[in-house]
Amino acid sequence: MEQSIKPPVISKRVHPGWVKAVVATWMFIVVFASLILFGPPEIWLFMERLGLATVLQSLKSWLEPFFTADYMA
Amino acid sequence: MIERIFSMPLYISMPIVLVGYSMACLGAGILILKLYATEFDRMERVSAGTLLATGFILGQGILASLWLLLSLGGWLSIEVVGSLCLLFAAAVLYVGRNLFSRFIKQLTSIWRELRADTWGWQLVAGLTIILALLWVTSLGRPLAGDGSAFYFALGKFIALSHHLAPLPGYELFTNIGLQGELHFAALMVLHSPEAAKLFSWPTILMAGIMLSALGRLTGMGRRGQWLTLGMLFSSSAVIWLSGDGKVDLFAVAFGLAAYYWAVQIRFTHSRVALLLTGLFSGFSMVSKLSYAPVMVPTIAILVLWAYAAELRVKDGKWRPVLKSFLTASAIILAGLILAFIPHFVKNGVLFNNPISPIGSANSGWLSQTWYGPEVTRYILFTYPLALTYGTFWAQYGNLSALILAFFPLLIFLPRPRSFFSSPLVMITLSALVGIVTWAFYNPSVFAPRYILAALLLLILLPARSAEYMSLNEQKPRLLAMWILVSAIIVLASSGTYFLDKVFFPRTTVQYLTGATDECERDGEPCGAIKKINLKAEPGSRVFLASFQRYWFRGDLLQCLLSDQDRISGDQSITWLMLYERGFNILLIDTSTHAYILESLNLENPPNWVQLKLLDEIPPYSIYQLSFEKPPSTAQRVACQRLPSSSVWELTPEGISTGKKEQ
Repeated sequence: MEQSIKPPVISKRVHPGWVKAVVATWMFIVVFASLILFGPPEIWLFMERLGLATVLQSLKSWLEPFFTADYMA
Repeated sequence: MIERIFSMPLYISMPIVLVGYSMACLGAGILILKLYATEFDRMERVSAGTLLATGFILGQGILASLWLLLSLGGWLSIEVVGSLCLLFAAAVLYVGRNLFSRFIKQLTSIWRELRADTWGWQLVAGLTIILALLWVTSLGRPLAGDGSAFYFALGKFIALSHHLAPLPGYELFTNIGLQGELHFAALMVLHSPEAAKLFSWPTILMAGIMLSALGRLTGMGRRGQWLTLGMLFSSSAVIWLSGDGKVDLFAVAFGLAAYYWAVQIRFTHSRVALLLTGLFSGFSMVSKLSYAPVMVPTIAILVLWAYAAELRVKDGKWRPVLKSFLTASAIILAGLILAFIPHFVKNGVLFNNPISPIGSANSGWLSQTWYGPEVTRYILFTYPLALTYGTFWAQYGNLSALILAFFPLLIFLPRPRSFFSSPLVMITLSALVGIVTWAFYNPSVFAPRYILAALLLLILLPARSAEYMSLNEQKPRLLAMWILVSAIIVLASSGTYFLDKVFFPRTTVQYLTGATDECERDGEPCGAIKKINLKAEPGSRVFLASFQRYWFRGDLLQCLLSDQDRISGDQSITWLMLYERGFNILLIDTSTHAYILESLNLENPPNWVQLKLLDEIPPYSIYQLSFEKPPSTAQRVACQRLPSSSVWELTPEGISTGKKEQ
C-alpha cells in the first residue's frame, strides 16, 4: 500500500564472526551505559539484589561528569 | 451546543475538544490538499496514513496562521474559533471519507502483519504503542519552566483577551514565530487548557507517521518502521516535551513533513510535493527559528538530489533540467514565503519590523553562547555521545540509545549500486549536513530540540540496518536476538524512567475526575498566583519577580509588569517606579529573584511605603503595596479595561478608557 523504493542492491556482504561480536559488544556497552545513566529505579533495585549497586553507582558517578557542564563553563 | 460540551465532566469534554480540534486541523489540511485534486488523486502510491498525517500537519500550519491574523484583529473569540473548527471538522468527515476507509484498511493490514510476526517483534510494537499512549498521562504533569513562563502563558493571554499583543514582561520575545502558542490559545478559547496541554500528543503521533513514511521511502519494512517509532518515542528529547507547554514539537512535525515531501520530489516531481516542501519548511522555521540554518541546507540537498536524477534520465541535457529545477525552486520558495507571511504581518503590526527578530533590539538570542571554548570543543568532539548521554545545561533530553547502539549495524547492509541513488544514504547525509551546519553556526548551543527534526532523520539508517539484520542474519542469529533484547530493554526502561517525571497516570485520572485541581498538580507557583487572583482588585498591577505567570487571572496577566518597569540600583528610585507605574502587589520567587529582595530592602522600605505580607508559599512571597504621600508629582499609571472588550491597557490614572477612545 505504501510506496516503497528499494535501492538497487549488488551483493550481500559476508562478515566474519568477530565483526558481529564487536558490534554486539558495542550495542551492549551503549545500552548498558544508558541504563546506568538513565535507568529507572527498578533497575537499581535489581542491581542491589545482585550486589552490584555500589559498583555501578561508582561507575555512574565516574561517567556523569563526562556528559555534563554548567552554563558558561 | 459548545457551552453544553464545556459543562460536561473534564474526562468527556477534554477528549471531545482535543479530537474535534485535531479533526479541524485535518479538515483544513485536507481541504487545501484537495485544491490540487488531480494531483492528490494521483497519490494513490502514498499511504492513507501518510496523507492524513500530511493533512493534519498542514492544517496545523494553516489554522495557526489563521488564528494569528484573527487575533491581531482581536477576533479570536469562541464563536469564531468554534464555528471554524466545526466547519473544518465536518468538512473532513465528508471530503476525507475515502481516505479514512483506506486508512482503516491500512491499519488492518498493519495489524495482520504484526500478528504474523514473532512474539519478540510483537513485544517491541506493543511497547512502542504503550510509550506513545503514555503521552496522555502527561496531563497530570506539573506545568513549569518555559511553558508556564511564556509559551503556554501567551496562549492564555491571547485566549482571555481574544487579542494578540506582546506578552507583558516578554514583550520583545513575542517577536518569535508563533505556531504552537496559537493552537494553545485556540484550545483555551474553547475552554480547554487541558486539550492545549495534550495537543503535543497528536502532533508527535503525526510526526511519527511522517518519519516512518520516510523510512518506507528508504525501503524499510514493518519491523524497521516499528523500530523507527520506538526510537522516536524512547528519545528523551521528545518525551520531555510532552505536556510541558513548550512548542518545539510543532517544528518537529513540520520539519519531518518537509523532509518527506522533499524526498518525494525525486519520485513524483509533482507541484504539490514542491509546494508542500516549501510550506512545511516555512512553517517549521516559523515554529522554531533555530530550524532556519538547518532546514535550508538539508532541503536544498534533497531537492538537488531529486533533479540530479532527472539530469541522468535526460542524458546530461542540462538546459531542460535547469529550467525545471529553477521552476521547482520558485514553487518551493513561494510555499516558504506563504508560510512566513502571517509572521511578517504580525511583526510588522506589533514591532514595525516584519523580519523581526532580525534587526530588532532583541535579536541577541539568535546568536547565543552557552559554554566557553573548551567545553564547546569537548561537546563537538563527542557529539554522538553527548546527544545520547548528555545532561548539559538546558540540553533538555537526548536521542534514544538505540540510535547509537544500532548505528554500526549499517556495515551489514548490502551496498547500493550507487550511494547517491539510495534515499537512505541521501536522507542521512542531508541530516548530517544540517547538524554540521548548526554546529558551525551556533557551536556552543547544544540542545537537541533546536534541530530535532534533522536529528530524528538519523533514526532511519540504524532502524533499517537493524531490520535488515533481524530478517537476514544466518544462524546462529545472536545479533538479531540481541537487537530485539536491546530494543525491548530500552523501550521498557524509557517508559518506567519517565513515570512521575513526565508521565503521571494517577494524577491524570485524579485531575480528569476532579479529585485533583490545577494547583495541586502544578504546585507552589500556581498556589501563590491563585492567592493573588482571589485578593486582587480588577486591574491590579502585579510586580512579578518570577518567571512563572500562566495562572494569573486575565486582567492581572494583561496588567503585569512590562519591559519598561525596570528595577534600579537605587532603592528609592525603584520604590518610586513601583508607585508611578501603578503597582499594588509584589510577588517574589525567592529561589530565582532573591536579588529583588536585596534591591528593595523590604525590611526597611521608605516611610511613605506601606508593605503588608499577604501570604507566603515558599519560595514565593506576596506583598500588598500602598503608598502615603509619595515624593512624586508624576501621574500614576493604571490598568483599565477597554470599553466592550476583554483587553486591559495601561493608561494614566483618572483617565477613563472611554474618554481616551473619544
